[in-house]
Amino acid sequence: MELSKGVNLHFINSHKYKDITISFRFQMDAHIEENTKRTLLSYLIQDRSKKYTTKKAVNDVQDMLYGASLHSHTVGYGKSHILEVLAKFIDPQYITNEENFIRDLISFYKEMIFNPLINEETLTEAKQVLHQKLLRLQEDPAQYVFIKGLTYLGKGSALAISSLGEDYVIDNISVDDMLQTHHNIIHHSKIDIIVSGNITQALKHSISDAFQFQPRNVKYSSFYIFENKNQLETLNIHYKEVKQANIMMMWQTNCAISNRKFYALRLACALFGQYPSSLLFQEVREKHSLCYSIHSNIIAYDGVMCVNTGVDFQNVKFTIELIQKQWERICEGDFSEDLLETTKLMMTNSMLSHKDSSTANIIMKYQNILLSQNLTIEDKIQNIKIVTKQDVIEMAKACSYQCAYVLTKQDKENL
Amino acid sequence: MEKFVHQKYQETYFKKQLKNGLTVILWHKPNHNKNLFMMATPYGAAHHVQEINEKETISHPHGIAHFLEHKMFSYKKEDVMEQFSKMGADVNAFTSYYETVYYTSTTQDPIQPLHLLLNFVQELDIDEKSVEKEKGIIIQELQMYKQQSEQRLVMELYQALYQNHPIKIDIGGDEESVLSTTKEQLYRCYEYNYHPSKMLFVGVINCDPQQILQEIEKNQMTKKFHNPIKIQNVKIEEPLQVVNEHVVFEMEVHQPKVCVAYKQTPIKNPIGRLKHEWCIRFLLEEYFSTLSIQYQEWMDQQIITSYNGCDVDYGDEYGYIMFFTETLKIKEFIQICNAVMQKIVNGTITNQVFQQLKRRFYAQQLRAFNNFEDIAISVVRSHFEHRNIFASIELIEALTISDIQSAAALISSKNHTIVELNPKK
Repeated sequence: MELSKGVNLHFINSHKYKDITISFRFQMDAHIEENTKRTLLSYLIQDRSKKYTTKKAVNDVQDMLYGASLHSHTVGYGKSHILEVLAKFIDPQYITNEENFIRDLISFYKEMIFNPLINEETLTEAKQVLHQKLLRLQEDPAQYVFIKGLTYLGKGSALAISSLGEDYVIDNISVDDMLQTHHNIIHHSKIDIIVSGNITQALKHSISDAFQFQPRNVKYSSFYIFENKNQLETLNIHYKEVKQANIMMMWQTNCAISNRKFYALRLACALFGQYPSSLLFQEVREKHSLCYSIHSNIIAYDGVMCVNTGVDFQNVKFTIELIQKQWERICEGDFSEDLLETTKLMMTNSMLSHKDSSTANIIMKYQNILLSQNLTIEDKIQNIKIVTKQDVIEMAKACSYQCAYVLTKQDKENL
Repeated sequence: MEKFVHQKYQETYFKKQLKNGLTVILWHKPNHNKNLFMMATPYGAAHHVQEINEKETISHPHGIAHFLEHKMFSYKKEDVMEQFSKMGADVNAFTSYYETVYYTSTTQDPIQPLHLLLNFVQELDIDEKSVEKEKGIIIQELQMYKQQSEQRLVMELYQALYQNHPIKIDIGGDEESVLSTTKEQLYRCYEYNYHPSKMLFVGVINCDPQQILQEIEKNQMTKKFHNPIKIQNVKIEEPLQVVNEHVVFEMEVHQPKVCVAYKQTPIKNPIGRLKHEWCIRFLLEEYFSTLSIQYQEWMDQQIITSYNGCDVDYGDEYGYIMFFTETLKIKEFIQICNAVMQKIVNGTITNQVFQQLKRRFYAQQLRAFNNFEDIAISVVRSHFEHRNIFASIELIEALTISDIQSAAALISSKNHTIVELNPKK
């Protein structure tokens, strides 16, 4: 349902849940400075507003609305940066004597989104929160190699732009910058509002009446195919006082998420390292007992595949070689038809189980929006089912290995 | 099967105890795609010392419940995970201090995964070689957790708080205990704690509960089990005094993190304990959350940061209330914690805060019925604690300010510990 040009309202009706979810998604281009500003804005939106000027005032309203929650954050989709405001509240059928519940609820969310409290005090706090979050992310070795790995590989491209922004940008951002950022997302972003749950006519009307946005003629790119143009060291080693070595290995997939062949790539990645039946799990963990956790993942909107694991210090080189060997096996077709069918079945199971989750349904809906498609889960399952072994081999061969990023303990004997 | 229907929350479940003693609870969720099955034993990492047949006492190696959980995933010499995958079913497990749980979920035909879950949990199939191989994997798992600062902070806290209670030992044990665990010890631990009469089967299902029950009964009829061995978890005497009032350690972090915890007298009765925890949560929200006017002052002065929180946790043999944050102003944070504890001990809560929190917590508990895993785990814990599954949400609805005052009267701030995690120099 188009509310105005560039602003759309979508409904996913279901009686399965005890609550209702509204996801407000504001899409703009990814950019280091703008990402940082939007992340700060996301903190401000969920903090205080012009009407509810203290955290307590906000909390008091939420609690009287049966714990109606409001979380906002930023997330990257390739070249796009999305500020999402996620609202969750109890389905009114489970409460009594609350005639104005929907009215008060929508009024609250409208106030928080349209009128965040942006001043020196609130901005100073938001900056501290973001500084601390960025520092904390680096404390977890697994997160550290993931972030640093993508930054290293993706230098100069959207891949290297963190959805949170960068630390060095934060301090220079002013109140005027934040007001402009807020103005931009309200007036110049592409907006999608997705509602999931037991949606009554009254709720539909309340949302469409309250969230009046001006029309905007905007189009933002999201997915793209990453192409490395940098000279890279194939093995990058960094040192910290850690208990085990963490490894991040990266491939360029050379395949867009919109490409029909993407399903074959997904299968290749799943065969590689997404289920207990996968080559990585069976070889690296079960056969060689090298790790507890290992998995492969596709960063779909950028066209990159990565593998993450944690191993003993002296096993880093051997593990990297073993992981590469498993990918070679897929390229050479050294896997059984049985394994291919098992992997398809596991992917089918995952996709169907998403239908029971409100959040997963919203994410799927948004993917359809970004890719300008209208695929159901059943369509996607069918697309997976028809992939052949040859298709998987073809897509695996089209990937090119780029580099490994390792965090380990400084010791002459390691590596 | 007994049928239980909660009209207000629109939830239904069925219950039956089988001839071999296995209890079956089937929670019905029609119109969903998934079926989830869970097998649980009330044996966890805290049950380190057990009395067998009222005659002898056994000390298991630390971490054995977790080790056993790992080793269960072999059945008839095959990898159980692969077998589930061929059925299009996920499988997983976890060990806590008080239970070990194995579960599978699928949107495909549920019958085969159902039988496989029952079969692999009801038979331990290991040899020396597979036991030795698993040690490497478990040690890497322990190393992974050790380098996570929050996990380390919690473990240091438990070690500072508890003299005797096994909560001070990591669920997975340590490298030494893992390396020393033998096949015989695993078999013995299994024999004592995995008899059907001690266990619970939970299904959160979209399909016909009667059909599932028939499959379970069919499965169980083909099996013979030895008589259950009489097992008692040896009671732990834990003094109220802490081990260490102030602990400082270092890791590669950017800012100091601090945890302040107050040791409490345990509460034996499960319903009493649940009610007590809820009452303390109400008080914690009043005095240590954004509901407190002082909270903003603490943020502005950077005594607390966005990384902060509090928790209350009681078992039948332990209890604590804790506060944590990331801050450079550790002394000031400790003063805040002490002041908040004083307010909690006084037990005063405003009627406005009380009423709004009732609404908030009621809705939170209700919304937990959306999630299959949450339902199943809640059923497991309620069953092993011999209390009604809806106890939490019903308690919240019935709670009064007087209950909160009564709970506060049991709180002490006398025995406490401070754990500081500082950046490595």
